[in-house]
Amino acid sequence: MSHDKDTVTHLRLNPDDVGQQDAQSLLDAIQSDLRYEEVIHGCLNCGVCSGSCPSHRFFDYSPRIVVQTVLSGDAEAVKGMMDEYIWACAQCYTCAMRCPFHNSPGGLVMIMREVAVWRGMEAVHRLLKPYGRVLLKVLSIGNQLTPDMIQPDFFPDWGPKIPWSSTDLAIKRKAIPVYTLQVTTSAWRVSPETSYELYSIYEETGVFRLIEEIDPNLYEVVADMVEDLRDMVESAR
Amino acid sequence: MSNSVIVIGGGPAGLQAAATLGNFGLDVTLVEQHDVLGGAVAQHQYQVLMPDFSSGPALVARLAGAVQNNPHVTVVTSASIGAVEEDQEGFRVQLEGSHPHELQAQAVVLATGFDHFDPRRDGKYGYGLFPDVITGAELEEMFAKGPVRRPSNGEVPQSVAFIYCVGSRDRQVGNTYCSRVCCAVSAKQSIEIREQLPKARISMFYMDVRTYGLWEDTLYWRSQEESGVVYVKGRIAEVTQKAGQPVLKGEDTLVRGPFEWPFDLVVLAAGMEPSQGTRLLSQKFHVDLEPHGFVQQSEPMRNASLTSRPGVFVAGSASGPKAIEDAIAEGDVASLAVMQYLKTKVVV
Ligand SMILES: Cc1cc2nc3c(=O)[nH]c(=O)nc-3n(C[C@H](O)[C@H](O)[C@H](O)COP(=O)(O)OP(=O)(O)OC[C@H]3O[C@@H](n4cnc5c(N)ncnc54)[C@H](O)[C@@H]3O)c2cc1C
Ligand code: SF4
Ligand code: SF4
Ligand code: SF4
Repeated sequence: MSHDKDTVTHLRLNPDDVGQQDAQSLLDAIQSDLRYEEVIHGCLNCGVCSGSCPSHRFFDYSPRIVVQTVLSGDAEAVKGMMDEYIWACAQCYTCAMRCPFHNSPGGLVMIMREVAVWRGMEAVHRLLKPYGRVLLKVLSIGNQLTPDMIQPDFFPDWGPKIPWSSTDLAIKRKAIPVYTLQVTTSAWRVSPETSYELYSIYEETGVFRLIEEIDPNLYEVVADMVEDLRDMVESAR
Repeated sequence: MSNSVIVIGGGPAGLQAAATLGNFGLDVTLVEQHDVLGGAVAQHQYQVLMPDFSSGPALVARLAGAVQNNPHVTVVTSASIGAVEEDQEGFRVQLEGSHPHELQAQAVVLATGFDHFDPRRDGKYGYGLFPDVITGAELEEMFAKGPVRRPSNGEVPQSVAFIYCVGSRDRQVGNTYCSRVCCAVSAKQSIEIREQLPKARISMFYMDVRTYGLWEDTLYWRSQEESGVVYVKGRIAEVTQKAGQPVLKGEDTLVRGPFEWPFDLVVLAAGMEPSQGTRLLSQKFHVDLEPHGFVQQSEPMRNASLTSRPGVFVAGSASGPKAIEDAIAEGDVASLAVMQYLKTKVVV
């Protein structure tokens, strides 16, 4: 398969970068991101972003300091932030709505997080731990949340009907007059062929390598699943 | 035809230009849209002027007197400019108002000034929503009427906050320039408030303090040394209201980090924008605007009043934010340019 070199580095999807955690290379990855010029134009050091930021109010976190640190070019300091500091951002983008320079500190944090994930940084191991089930769904069928993940007391913010919604799932889903939605273990029916293609993409782009890096146990489960499905699809062809 | 000039706008710049041109014997018509002369100084009744704490009403009286008592100046108020044409003779300008007629002139001075930024356009300050959030211009009007009080309940404020750079230096509202005078005007106002309220907490929330040039110590330092005014470096992110009091939310970027701080009275240092008249007349006279929407000074290194169009001159805040003293100086600068222009044009 041929890679367009520019595209690969811009999107930071170079599979060879997985695990690469040299501080300068992390900063380079952030600053060469296609979106970087759009999210950071400079900074007036005014504090409007942090003043607007819900996380600044309750945590040791300031979007202004994230922006200033990245602009300072201090790669070690930026790497330090990627371990814990930036994960306090709620991605609400109030900062972007208010910044008088039209920066998007939340957008910068998003780029930094993607780099941190892609490079398999220690923080990501910690942060993704509670999301094993979600990750497995995403990797196996491309769904994030499925009907059978809804529990009576899991999503109180989804309203008072949630306990009711979580019972008699199979019957309730059957009542939806759309054939592809009459399932409970996925959000919609996903054909084996779709998963098969999904796995090829994950493999080509380095996603599987990334999972192997940050969660070896999960990767083992995924690898078995992939092998089984590939056997099944290929013998059926 | 005699040497005649139309000066449009009866603020400090236009009044000075009209008086000076009249003193040199030119035939001047001064056109003002409102029924009062003095521009922003009169409309908002500035009592005490930055930087020298001189009297606003005295300034307006002197400038207006100089045109009203000048036999070469005809003052037309409550009038506006209609159609404009230009031929070899000069400009033909239709005057609209109670006595519509045509004016002819060889030269025109645009002194149409600025409008205050309307803080309703930036919802985060709660202006128009919370009664105790007012603009600097409204504070001037309050000074003119009597002692400073909270609009919500008429009580004496125990704490006053100034928010800098409202409507200026902000891409979100489309004004990326600095309005130049609001830092110094706010410092002046804080000193005046201290005289009335010896015990009040007075805090200035700024991104930079731009009391440039000679105003650094005479206003910025003085407000701290003599008036105990406190400066906090952090641009205000939003104003909310709790228990009938405006609450300022922001980050003290140097010292204390996040804050939510209630004040009895909040003054917005709202910036300057090209006035409606400046926008309109720049179109009628086909003069170029600079990128922020003010009248472009075509050759500021030669004379500050030259525009892209020969015969049309600009003075005062129509060409950018500036202080009264600079607006008045430009009235004279424009007069000089008009005289030079007419000298080259008219064959004696
Ligand atoms: C809150 C505040 C306080 C300030 N206090 C001070 C201070 O203490 N000291 C200081 O140096 N500066 C101060 N300034 C700045 C000062 O107001 C300006 O420098 C000054 O008013 C500029 O004068 P000008 O003649 O250029 O414009 P303006 O004062 O705006 O006058 C323009 C005139 O033109 C008229 N006009 C506009 N369009 C038309 C039209 N189409 N036809 C006819 N007439 C028209 C207007 O009605 C107005 O009378 C302050 C500014 C603000 C915002
Ligand atoms: S997007 Fe993040 S940094 Fe921006 S205001 Fe929201 S929580 Fe704060
Ligand atoms: S709001 Fe924008 S300009 Fe101000 S500190 Fe934050 S990023 Fe910098
Ligand atoms: S003069 Fe001061 S308050 Fe006004 S725009 Fe400039 S920095 Fe902001």
